[in-house]
Amino acid sequence: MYIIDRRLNPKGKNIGNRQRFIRRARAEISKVVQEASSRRNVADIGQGDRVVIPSHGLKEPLFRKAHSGGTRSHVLPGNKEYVPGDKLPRPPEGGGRGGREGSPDGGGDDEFQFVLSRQEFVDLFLEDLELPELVKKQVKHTDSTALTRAGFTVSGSPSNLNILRTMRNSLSRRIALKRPRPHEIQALREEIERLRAEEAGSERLQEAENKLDLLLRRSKLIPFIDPIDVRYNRFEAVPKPVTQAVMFCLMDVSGSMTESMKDLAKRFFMLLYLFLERRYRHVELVFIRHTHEAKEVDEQTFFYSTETGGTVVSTALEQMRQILQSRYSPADWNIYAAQASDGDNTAGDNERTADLLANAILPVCQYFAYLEVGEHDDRFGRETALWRTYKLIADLNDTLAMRRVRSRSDIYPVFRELFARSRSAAA
Amino acid sequence: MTATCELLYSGADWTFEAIDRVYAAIDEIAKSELKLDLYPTQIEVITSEQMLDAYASIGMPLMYRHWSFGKRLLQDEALYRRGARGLAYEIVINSNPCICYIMEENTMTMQTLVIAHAAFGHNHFFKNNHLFQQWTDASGIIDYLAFARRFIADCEVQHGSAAVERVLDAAHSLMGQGVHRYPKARPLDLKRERQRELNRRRHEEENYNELWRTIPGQTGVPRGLDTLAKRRQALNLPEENLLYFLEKRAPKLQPWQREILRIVRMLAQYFYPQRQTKMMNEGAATYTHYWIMNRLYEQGRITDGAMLEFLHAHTSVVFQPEFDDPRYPASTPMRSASP
Repeated sequence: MYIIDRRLNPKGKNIGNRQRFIRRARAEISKVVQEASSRRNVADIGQGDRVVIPSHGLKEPLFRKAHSGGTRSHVLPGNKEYVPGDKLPRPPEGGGRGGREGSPDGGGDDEFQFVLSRQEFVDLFLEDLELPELVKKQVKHTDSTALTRAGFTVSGSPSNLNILRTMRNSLSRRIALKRPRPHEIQALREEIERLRAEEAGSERLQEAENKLDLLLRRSKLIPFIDPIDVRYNRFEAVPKPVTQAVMFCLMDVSGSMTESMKDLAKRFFMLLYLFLERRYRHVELVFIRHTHEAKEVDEQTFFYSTETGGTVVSTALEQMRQILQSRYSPADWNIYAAQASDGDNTAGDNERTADLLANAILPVCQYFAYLEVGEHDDRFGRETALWRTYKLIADLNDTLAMRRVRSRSDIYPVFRELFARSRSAAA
Repeated sequence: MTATCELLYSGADWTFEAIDRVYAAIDEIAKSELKLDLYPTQIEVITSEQMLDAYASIGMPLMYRHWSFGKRLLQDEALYRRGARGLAYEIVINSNPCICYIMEENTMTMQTLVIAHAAFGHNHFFKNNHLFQQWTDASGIIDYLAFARRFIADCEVQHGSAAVERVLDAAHSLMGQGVHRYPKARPLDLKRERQRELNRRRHEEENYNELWRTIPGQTGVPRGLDTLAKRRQALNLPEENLLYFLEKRAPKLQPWQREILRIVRMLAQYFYPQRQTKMMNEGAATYTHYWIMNRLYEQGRITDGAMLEFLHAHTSVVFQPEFDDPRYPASTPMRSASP
């Protein structure tokens, strides 16, 4: 008998099967996942989740006896209240199903329930979305570079000398050119010594001396290490992609923004954050909220505390510009911004806003999404002041994207629209 | 034997040494008293996670990849995490050597119980039951599974996983109809064939009568088979094993598709006796473990506490459900849970 401890065996024996299953049920699962964006709380958007999908399409068809119907006769042991001769009522049609519900291994016949891991959830959630300008940024900023090894070269600085390569070349050259080895010369010398002592002037001595001459000459002509042997490690400067991103969340928190509008904005920010987090090794968040003046705040304050005041959008942009200057150099950071507003702005401020956005913010941003949230109907084509202002800039600038959102269920489609792969392909 | 042997273990925690001692003690009882005839045993300790993995692949240590196994895993996992279902204490595989998985969470008494149950009871049954002998090849199954897994993985690379999945889906749905229920008649060897031919000719000679030739309506042409019968014969019908029939006769299948059908069919056949003998198999194993545990107790090799723990586990799974138990679906006649 052998006992084998399998407990430390690698886990995830069934990962392949799990992936195959998720691929199989992809349509159903991703529908559920996408609904989640309008249903779930902000904090756990990125969590894995229990997913319930309809089980049709996942059924494995089988030929087997039906659970109900037909005439059956059973002999089952046991008795509670019957005496011989009693007739048992036939269980009502569908009684079999009732039985299955009670069975310990039945359950979940119509719905299939399981838990998606966080990674799987996010992957499905963001499937075929692409960040725009990602590639461009990576190529554009060649000022941060890293050295990577790139083979060998025949010239270089002594500190980069590759001794192994050099000696290998030297050895093969010495073998090829038959450079005598030190111990061969040593042996010949000893031989000559011996001959001199024993039979001075003999022919063999002469021969040995000639041979020694030849060997010495050869070892002088064929150097131990020749310049052609020498190899250096070669390094190449490779532009290092900027793997960190900063995301600015700008929001109007003046009186005209209702709680539900803020909630919409929050969901959008949340999606954007999730998205960036997946693409960049390091993502920082900056929250700027504004009324008639702008402030950088923490997340809690940003979303949950209320403030009253007027609405001057340019203050937020100005604040963002200052933070960019002081903390986030465009060379080192991928900069993303999302602004949510109900579209109100103080009448005299639009010009300054447009100027700041077009000349200071957009040139350094990878992407600036303007999201107009609101409950009112815009069927009459009534555009808000801010919308009109941004519209002019957006026409000229690809970096700025703007959308209107009315309800929770709009958020995900709008997000998809903004970041759909096709857009980046066209850009 | 007398009741003077020393205790095999005490306390709830199991150790590898204790398992060794227990195995040796059970082995002695099983061989000398019960006269069991066993495959060599290989005991493997696994975690609950690995147990779930094993569930998904029908208990086999190796299995080809298919989405339905992933589905089963997710289902079992969900049930287990919810607490709706406990896990088995062991899984035993009809192979040579007989592989017996035991869970690390079990107490030492449970390990003793499951070793007696699986490594001895089931093991003996697998080796000696005529259905298992007839239909399964215990020493070849692991290698066959390894082959199947590799073959199907290669097919996925060559023909795409979608194509492989299609074939496997179809084959799985016919798995229940993919078994030979009765052994085929053995093809005769040359000697017996000749003997049969001789007997037949002698019979004809003995019963020869000129009169038969003169009966009107006979054309002299031997009554050939009509076309339908001919076709049936050509297709080797009737054939109850649908997978076998498709594998051999389907006109359009590629060789690799036939091989996949064959793999599924072989597995169906391998598992067929399990279903047929479920009751008897569990019964034999339960009888064995009950006998052995009692014997160990009589010999004073397990404590009173261990015996009570065993009896509790034993009685809570071995019982006869009432006739109106909701777990009787209309189709399953009887069912005995087993540890």
